[in-house]
Formats: sequence, C-alpha cells, structure tokens
Amino acid sequence: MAGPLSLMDEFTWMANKGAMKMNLLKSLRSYLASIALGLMCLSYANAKEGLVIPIWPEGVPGAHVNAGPEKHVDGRYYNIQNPTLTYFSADPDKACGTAIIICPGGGYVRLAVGMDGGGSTGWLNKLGVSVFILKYRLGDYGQPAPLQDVLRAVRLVRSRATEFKINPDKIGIFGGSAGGHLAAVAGTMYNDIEGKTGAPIDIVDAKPNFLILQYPVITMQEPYVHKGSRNALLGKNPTEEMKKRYSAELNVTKDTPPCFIFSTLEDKSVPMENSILFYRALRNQKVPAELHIFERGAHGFGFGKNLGSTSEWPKLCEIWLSANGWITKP
Amino acid sequence: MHVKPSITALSITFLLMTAHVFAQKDTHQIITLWPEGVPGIKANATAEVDEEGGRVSNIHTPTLTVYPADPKLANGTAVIVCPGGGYARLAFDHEGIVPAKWYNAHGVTAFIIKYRLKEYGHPAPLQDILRAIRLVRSRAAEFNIKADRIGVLGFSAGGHLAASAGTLFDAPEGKTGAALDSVSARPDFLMLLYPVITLQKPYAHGGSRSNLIGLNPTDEMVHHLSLDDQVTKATPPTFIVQTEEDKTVPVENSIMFYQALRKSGVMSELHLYAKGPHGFGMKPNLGPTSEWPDRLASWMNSHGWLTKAQ
Repeated sequence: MAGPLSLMDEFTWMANKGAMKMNLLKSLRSYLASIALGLMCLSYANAKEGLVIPIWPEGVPGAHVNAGPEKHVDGRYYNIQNPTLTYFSADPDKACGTAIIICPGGGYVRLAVGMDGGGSTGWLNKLGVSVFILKYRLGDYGQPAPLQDVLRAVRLVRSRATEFKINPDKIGIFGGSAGGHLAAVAGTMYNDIEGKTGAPIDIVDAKPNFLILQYPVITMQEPYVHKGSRNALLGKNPTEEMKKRYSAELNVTKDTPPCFIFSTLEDKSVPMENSILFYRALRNQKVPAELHIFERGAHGFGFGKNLGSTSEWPKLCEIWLSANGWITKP
Repeated sequence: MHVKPSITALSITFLLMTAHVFAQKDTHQIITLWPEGVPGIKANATAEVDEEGGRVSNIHTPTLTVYPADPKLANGTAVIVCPGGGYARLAFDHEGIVPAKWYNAHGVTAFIIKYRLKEYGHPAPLQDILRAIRLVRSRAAEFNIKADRIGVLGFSAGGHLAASAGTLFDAPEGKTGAALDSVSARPDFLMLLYPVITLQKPYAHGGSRSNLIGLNPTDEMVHHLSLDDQVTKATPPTFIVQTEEDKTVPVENSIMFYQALRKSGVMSELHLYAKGPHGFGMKPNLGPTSEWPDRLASWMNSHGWLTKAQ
C-alpha cells in the first residue's frame, strides 16, 4: 500500500514541478519546447491553441528510430511519433469538473480532426467540460501503441486532476470512427497488461467514466469490420485471436462504463451495425447505454449542419451528460 | 328592463358552462370502421368494457376517434394512433389521447383506433387497421389532410399492429370485398414505441403472441406476423423508440425491425434510451427518455411532415 502511494505522490510531485517550471518560463515560450526536464515536458503555445502535454515524458515506449517527422497536411496529422494531449480548460464560470479526452478518427492511418477537436472543443468547453485532444500513434506502429497511448492519457489526466481542476471520477472519452474504436477499447481493455509500461503512473486507474462514440468502428470481424482500420491496427493478415482481442463488442463486461452511441444509416464507410453490435453487448451486460441511429449524414459528419434530425445530436448528448450528472443542465 | 338582461346573461353563462363541460367530456367525432357490418363479428358480442387507468377492452365494434388539428395549425398530416395492451386491451388514455393531443399541438390530425383484440385474434386487428387507413385516405379532403401524409403510431402491441400495416398493407386477409379495398392501405410512415415485432422465440412477447395467434400457431403464421421477416423496400420510413430497461418487450424487437429496414434500404431512425419501464408512453421525468417526442418532431420535420402541405 505504501509503495504505490508514494510512487503516486512522486508522480504528482513531478507533475507539479513541471507546471511550476512552466510558469516561471512562460515568457520564454520558444525555449520551452526544447526543455528536457526528463520529468515532465510541457510546451505552451497559447490559450486558444491549448496546452500541449506529451504523454510519455520518460520516452515513448517502443519509439521508432529514424521515423521521420510528424506530418500535418490539410488539417490532418500523419506519422505521429510523440503522442500528446492538447488541453483546453472549461469556461471558468461553467466548469463542472468533468473532463473529456477526444480521440479523433482517421482509420488509424491519420488523425482527421485538427487539434481544435473539429468543433467539439468549443462545444464542450461551453458546457463546462475540460477537453484533452489525444494525438495517438497510428498504423506506423499498429497495436498495442494506440491502446498504450489512450490508457496513458486517462492515467495522466486522472493523476493530475487537481491541477486541471477536474474530478478524477468524471473523465470521459469521446471518439469518432477509428477514434471511437480506441475509446471503446479504453472502455473495455483499461486493465490490459499491454497498456502498462512499468512506469509509476501504471497504478492509476485507466478506466474512463463514460464513453461517447460517434460512428465508431467496433468490430474487427467480418462482415461489418472497417478494413482500413483493421489493416492499420492489426496488419493485413491478423490472426483470429487478434481480431477477437480488438473487437470491442466481445470485451464488454458489467464494468464497462455507460455509453452514448450515435451513427447514421447513410454511413458508407463504417456500417452502423458496429454501433448495434456494441449496444447489444452493453445491453447484455446491463450497462446503461443510449443508441441513436439517424438517417442522414455521410461518415465523418462531425458537427455537420443541415442533416435534418442528425444535426441535433449535440443536444441529445447534452441531455445524456446532464442526466448522468456530468454537466449541469444546459 | 332591469331584470331581463341579467336573465339573458345567466342563460348565456349557463349555455357556455354546458358547452364547456360538453367539450371536456367528448366532442370528438367517432367513426365506425365497418358501417356495412363488422366482418366476422361474434354473435354474442357484448359491450365494450372500461377498465382502470383509461383502458378499454372487449372491442367488437372498431372505431376511430378523431382529434382534428386546429385549422390554423393544420399542416395536412394525419396519424392513426394504435394504443397498446398486449392485444388484450387498449391503453386508450395514455397511449391514445395523450399522443393524439401532442400531434394536434404539432398541426397533425390524429385518429385513435379501437381495434379488435383477443376475442377475435388474427386477422381482425389487421383488418381494422388497414380499413382505418383506407377510410382516412378516402376521406382526406373531409378531414383537411393529404392522402399521401398518413402515418401510423403504435405502442407495444399497437406497435405490432402499426408495423403490420407497414408490411402487410396488401395482405388479402385485410380485404373484405368492400369498395374501399381499392384504396391503398399503405401508411406513409410508421412510428413505433417499444413495439412487439417478432412472434418468434426468444424475443417474442408471449401474451401478445397468444392473444393474436393462439397457443399453437403454425410456423407459417408465426413467420407471417413476425414483422422483421416481412419488411420490403415498400415498407414506409420508420421511427423507433425503446428502452434498455424494458422487461416486458425486449429491446431486440426494435433492433430486429430496424436491421430489417436497413437491409431493405428504408430510411429510418432508431432511438434506444437507458431508462423507462415498458409502457412509459409520454410520461415525464424519465431522464433523456422523456425527450423522445422532441426526436419524433425532429424526424417528422426532416421529412417535411410538419410543414404545411401545398
């Protein structure tokens, strides 16, 4: 008992120390990115762009040598080598102590949503929710790198709850498409051994408190698998065992967190059956869940307007968040 | 001179009061579905029975109770409302009158159907709903509605009946040789609340099944009235709401119908909420579930059914 606690304290201390340094050097922003504390490295761009927090300050596990730089083309990110969280704090007058980690989609080959969260940041911040956008590793690594990244992200946010002025029991994950898969993976494989690296922070609970899944990839099995995501995550010829391991619908237990799931009939990339598969698994385990399948909206509609009833999903999601006590009534 | 006006005033007041009471009680037109005689009516038919909680049972004379939209609001859309009750009774109040008034507030004219139940079994309920659609459609002008904007709403077993109308609208057993048979009985859209869909195990609702097709139905009959098996591309767009907590009719019924609609390429919307026991109707205070009427309005609106018809 004493061991893990002291490790935990040490980690918090390390984090605080990092934050202190950051404050001291705030005026020297351009230097910050290059500061290697060996403990916690924070680079602070500006308030609007969010605070960028590398999630593996001790070094990225299994980092590729000579991997080349990250690419940022047309608002999309490729070749992620150094996973980060970009932090946007909740509107101070509305802050309700809830944090949401956003996993952008992109079929595990890119991150399709910019580090502003494609509109979700503004929406959630206004609801009083602090947002952390996760830049996770992709097909260049394949499994278990994305799993490691998302679980580390939850642990990091939870361990530094005080600093972020959030409640460590109110940390959700919002993921779209392949990001929805990663969110569902976090909600079902949070204790997975491969998500741990031997770091002190491994003792922090990596289980998200709730999931919001937008047109998620769920299964890695035929016939509803999104092949692109599977190829990137598991390779071209995955074993049956590996397909099952990463089919989120097969890993649901009664401890899987509550879920809000939505997709559309018109989605031609990721069949809405993925949503149904996950919902049925949740229902079989009596996990409270909401499923909304709308008609209009191609894959990746995000916050798309003029999609009829589909465009009202943020309102439904707010009602759900509020009914569960994660936000105050909008 | 002094007395007369006050007497007049009194009489007027009295008349107004009477009219008010009358209006509250029932000014709603009731239309008999089978003016030519109910097909296969039982010789020993007894009177309808009013049960507790605004429920009715023992229906021998099927009717439509008309809730017309305010002419100023009316948008030309009509909905036939099928209350549930496991084909044993009808929750006429909370799954009939309450939604009918909701439709009226949205400019939609509602017709609450009293359909035949376990005293008859199949095909009587199907005959009644298909006749209701034909009747409303054939008299569209009279009701100030459009013949191509007629939806059917159903709760629970009423959802089964609504889904039957949406899939078996051309069924021969729905016709009786009457002139009205030539009118299309296909609803233009369906709205299903915690519907009974399949009559097959393991997700069938036992009571609805035995009341509709008896204790020992043929496989053929079970298949015929398991509506997920009957969906085609001609099935109208459908809106479905159900809760995970429903212990009476498993949520799988909704999922099965939705998947069948999807397979046939029918535009449809599915909303599965967490909380709410079977039969929640339009009850408030069930968290997000109570918000479903807003979803319905939004769906109807995105199809143009709440916009004033040209």
